[in-house]
Amino acid sequence: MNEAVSVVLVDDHTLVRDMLHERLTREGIEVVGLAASGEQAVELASAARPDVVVLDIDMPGLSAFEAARAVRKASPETRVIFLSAFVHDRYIDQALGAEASGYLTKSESPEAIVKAIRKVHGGAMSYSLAVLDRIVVDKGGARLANGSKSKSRTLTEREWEVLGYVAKGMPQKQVARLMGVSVKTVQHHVMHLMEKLEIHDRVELAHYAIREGLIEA
Amino acid sequence: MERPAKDPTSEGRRFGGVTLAVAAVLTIGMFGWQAYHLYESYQAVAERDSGECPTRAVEAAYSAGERLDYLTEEIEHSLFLWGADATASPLPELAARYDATETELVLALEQATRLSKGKVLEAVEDLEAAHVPLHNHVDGVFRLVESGQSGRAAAEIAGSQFLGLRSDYAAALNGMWTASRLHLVEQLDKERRTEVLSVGVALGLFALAVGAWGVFIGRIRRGQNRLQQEERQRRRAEEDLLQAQKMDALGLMAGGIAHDFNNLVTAIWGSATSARQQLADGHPALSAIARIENASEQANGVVRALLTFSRRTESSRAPVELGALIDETVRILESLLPASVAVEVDHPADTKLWVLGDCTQLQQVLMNLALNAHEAMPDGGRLLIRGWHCTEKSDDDPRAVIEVTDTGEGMSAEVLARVFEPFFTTRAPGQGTGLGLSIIHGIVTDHGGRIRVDSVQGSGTSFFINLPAIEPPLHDPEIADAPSIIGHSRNELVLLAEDHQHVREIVAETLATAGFRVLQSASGAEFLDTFNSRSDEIQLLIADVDIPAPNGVECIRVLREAGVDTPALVITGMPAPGLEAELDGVASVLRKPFTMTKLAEVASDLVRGAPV
Repeated sequence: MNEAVSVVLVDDHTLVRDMLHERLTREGIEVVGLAASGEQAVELASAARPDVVVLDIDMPGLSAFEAARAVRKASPETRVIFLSAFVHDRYIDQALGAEASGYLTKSESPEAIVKAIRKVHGGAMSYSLAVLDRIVVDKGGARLANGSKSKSRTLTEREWEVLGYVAKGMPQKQVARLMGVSVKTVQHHVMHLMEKLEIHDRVELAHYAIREGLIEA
Repeated sequence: MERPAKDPTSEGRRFGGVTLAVAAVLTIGMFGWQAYHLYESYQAVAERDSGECPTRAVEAAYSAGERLDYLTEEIEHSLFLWGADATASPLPELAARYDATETELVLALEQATRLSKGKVLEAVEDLEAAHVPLHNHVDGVFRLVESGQSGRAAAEIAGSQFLGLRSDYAAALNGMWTASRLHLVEQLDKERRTEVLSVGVALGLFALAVGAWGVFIGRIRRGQNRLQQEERQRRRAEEDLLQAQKMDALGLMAGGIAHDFNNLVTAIWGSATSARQQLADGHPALSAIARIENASEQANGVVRALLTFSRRTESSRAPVELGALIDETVRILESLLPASVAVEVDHPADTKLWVLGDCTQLQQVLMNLALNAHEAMPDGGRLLIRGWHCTEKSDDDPRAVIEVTDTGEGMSAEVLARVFEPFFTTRAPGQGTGLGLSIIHGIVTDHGGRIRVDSVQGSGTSFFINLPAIEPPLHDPEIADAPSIIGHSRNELVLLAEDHQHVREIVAETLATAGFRVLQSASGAEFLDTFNSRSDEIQLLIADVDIPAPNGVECIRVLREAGVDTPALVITGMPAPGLEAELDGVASVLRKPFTMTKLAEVASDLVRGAPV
């Protein structure tokens, strides 16, 4: 008999969320919450303190990676698995940065997702061999070797986060509110990242973010 | 400070200006010269026509002198024949004519003296000198006649003095004539020489002016050509930009569609498999569910293709030698293509075409292009796959180019303009997704390359793939073993100490994937406790230096002092020089950053007793 696992499912696509809900429930996994955004996920996880949070990466609002950090802060025992339609080095790199326990793609079978949840709950990790092969451990923790192209490597975590929001067309005021910083700080980050990337136009910035897999079109 | 680069346009403009100025000056000089000589010639003609000309004056003097000489001879004959009755003779009339002609001569000589110069003037003066004694002598004869001494007059005129004076006069007259003719000839000669010089200089100026104009017009022509060429290049760049923007927009759109579509397919597929599991074997709905699963799988394929086109899929980057890739692809193609398609391969044997890319994706590009080429040649033909090096004009960067050319049907301009668009196909409905060339475009663009297509309807099509070239790698990746964390262990038990939970779990996962069994501990104390409880089984110790006390090095030292000789690996992120020497014979050292592959290799070597 499998040990009881409590899970919060976070995906803005209702169909996917419902399908997984139904499937996990049938497999004996207790789905203690369903969320459609990062903010909801943090809220639910803080209240329910689930064993595992399954987080879709591309969702409106708060970045999934920030949500993962907030979840781990609110509930340190909760383990996070990212679920995405895409395999991007940048995503994996950020998932490692957010200390996620696994990274799955939506093309994997529901069985694989169930297996991963159980594995992660058992204290193991769920990264593919290809990803494990490329992980580098350094002073700061784990990251992906050659995780992203040279220019993007120069951005800080904060700048990456701002880039994600700005490229989505979010006003700076909203970004500041979401990140809990002043508008001036956001402007500072935007200025810095534009300088680093040598991009001086928001449309180009959005294109860049899409190419880097930071946001989906 | 950096010197500003020379502006070739302004330099060219300056040169054009100088050429124009030279051409203009030469032209003006040529016309000025001609005008001057025209004026000179006109002056000379006018002078001659006006009579104010020394030659004409000399001619008039000569004519009067000759006539005077003739009249003198007539007077002599008349006196000789009519000596007794001189007054009845024609002598009076002759005397009157003599006076008139003599006046004419004196006037003509005066004019000739005034106008002449040099030798002609000397000759004129000689004639004047010869004329005066002759005239005085004839006057004396007339006076004798008038005084009735005709006989004496006749004797006087037939005397030797008269003969001498006439002879001198005739000689001076001839001398003047000759001097005048000589002068005339010299003058004409001089004029002709001046004319030759003038025409020569004019012709020279004309030639230079024509040359300068030629250079100037040539420059204008070249400028026009360059402008036209620049215009063509600009138009081409604009077309390329438009095409790139179009493909970018299509990529964004396709990526967006693929993202949503992917979620839908995930939900459909997951729900279908879920339904299948809940139905008993032989349930009539199972076949319908199988069809849903099948369709979902196909839809997933389309999503993958769209993602590749929109450059959303992950691709690995490793040095790829395009020559070898071409050969490998051709080997596969030979079994796929009919004998009627002759495949020709051409790539440099001496220099290799290295690029940084995803070998599988690049092979997919070549295969798709070759299979498309085959479809364009249903009755067979020639398929050429070539590779070569070139240099980018704009930045001198080395590039590697692959050309795939067929002798097939070719494409119309309309098809050519849309050939890379997703879902654009010339095939019959249901016979193709129209994603093949879009995927190729996506892959090439993702590799930092460009793809260009040339096609002539009825003659064939050529695709050119231009990729950034790289230096040949030091080790041939095909020969080197691909490093992996798999298969490094045969179930040995490892004790791991690392306080950073995420790192510890990743390291543990890596070791587990490599085939080890792993015991995890978050502190030195926990590490020692765990070892003490399972010391018989543990075959490898891995400890981070920086863990809660005792630290990793201290832990290993404690165990060594207790006589434990299990191989040990110390991990450190600190610079700590000399740690290896310090731990020589105690433990091996692995410094951060390190890859998981390296960790698996080191762990494997340690349990086998191999030196690290």
